[in-house]
Amino acid sequence: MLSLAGVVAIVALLAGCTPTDPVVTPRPEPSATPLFASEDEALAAATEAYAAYLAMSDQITSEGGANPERIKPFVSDELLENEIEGYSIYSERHLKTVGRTLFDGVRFQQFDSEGRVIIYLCSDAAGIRLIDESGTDVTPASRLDRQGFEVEFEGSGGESALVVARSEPWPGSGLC
Amino acid sequence: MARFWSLLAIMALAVLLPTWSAAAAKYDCSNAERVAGLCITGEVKGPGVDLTGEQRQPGGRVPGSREPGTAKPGKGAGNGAAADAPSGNGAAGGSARSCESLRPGCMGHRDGYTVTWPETPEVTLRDLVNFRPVPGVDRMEPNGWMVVGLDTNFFAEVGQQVHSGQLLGRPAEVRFTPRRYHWSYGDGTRADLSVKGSTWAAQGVSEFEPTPTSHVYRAAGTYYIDLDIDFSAEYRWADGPWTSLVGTIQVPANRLVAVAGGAKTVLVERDCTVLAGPGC
Repeated sequence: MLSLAGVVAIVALLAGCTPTDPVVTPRPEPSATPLFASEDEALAAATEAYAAYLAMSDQITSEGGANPERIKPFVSDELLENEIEGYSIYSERHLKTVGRTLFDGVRFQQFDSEGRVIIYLCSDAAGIRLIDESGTDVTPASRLDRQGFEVEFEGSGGESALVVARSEPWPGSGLC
Repeated sequence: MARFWSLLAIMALAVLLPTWSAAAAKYDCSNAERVAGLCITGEVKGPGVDLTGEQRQPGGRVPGSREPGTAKPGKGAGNGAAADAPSGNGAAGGSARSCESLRPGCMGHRDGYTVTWPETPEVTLRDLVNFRPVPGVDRMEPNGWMVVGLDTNFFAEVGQQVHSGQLLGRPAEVRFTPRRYHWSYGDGTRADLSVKGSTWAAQGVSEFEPTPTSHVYRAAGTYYIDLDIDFSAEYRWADGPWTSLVGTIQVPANRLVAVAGGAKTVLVERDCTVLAGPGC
């Protein structure tokens, strides 16, 4: 014979509200926690990430393309192969750079909740020269010193909050 | 077992496909390449698209031409085996750059030979290629005339077009897609539409029926009808991914001249179902 307590427990179970196992309505989890609270914050993080990327890129090219995998922490996994291919130009041709690539005119385009940020910027290569083995400046005369870029970043689990996922040349002089 | 493998292949495809589509519109030029002057840019300019590329090359030769004295069977001489590996361009068909085209000193394999250029001297090529979409054709039904108060059917004959050329000795392509149609009917009214229309027959409707692109004239007279078509453009180079360009290119189609007149209901001599003509 069922005790009164047993009946109550069964009724409570049926009602879905046993005291020992409370049914908690799960809160809807956001698909991803937004990394940035504002456009300014996203732009600042992207600017910082791009500066770090350029610094490492310039360091690798200044050393003739040696150890190109050092760029890994600054770019997305998909981009890494492309990047490393870019440095092989230097190692194969015994070229190196002197100076630094700068950028200015950063403009915010968009960001999303998954940490993807897109900005515009003007890359300034006036202060970086291409030097061959004999020390001769072989910078292409036709190289645009100031070139607009649309740069896309994505969140990374690594040290820096953002990594470069794409840098696409932006035609025309609108960004520079 | 065979079934298992084909299933596996399909699964692999399913996994790969989204990656391909996601990467389809991307062109990347790293800072290392940019500093060396190796970026390709495309720009909508006036009635067409300009593709511009820069390239450092030894000796001023164009890729693809071969100097017998420097061609050697098998491996290239001294330029590094890594540069010759086409697999370096990734499994999805290659990036926009390849050893063959962009790396001075390395021309890759051709007909069982690896062609290696002398190291010096170098020249810089700046190449530009311009592409223009072929204009669409504006058509109307009835052809050349309309009935006041009834629908005249306008439609454009145009489709997606791919134009090919050479940029820095490699194939460059621009793909134009018609996006919007601006009709100016000549009676002071205009329509900006996203559909190009088609014949009454193709739409399965009777003559003088309204269509998404038809227009009704309210007064008799001669009208000049103009159509401008907006094209969007994408480009790719060296079999790389398609890259969308910002902006559209507006291209005028032919001008139509048509006369609008009144229509009266008349009794015709013969059976309209036998002698089919306009208005029957």
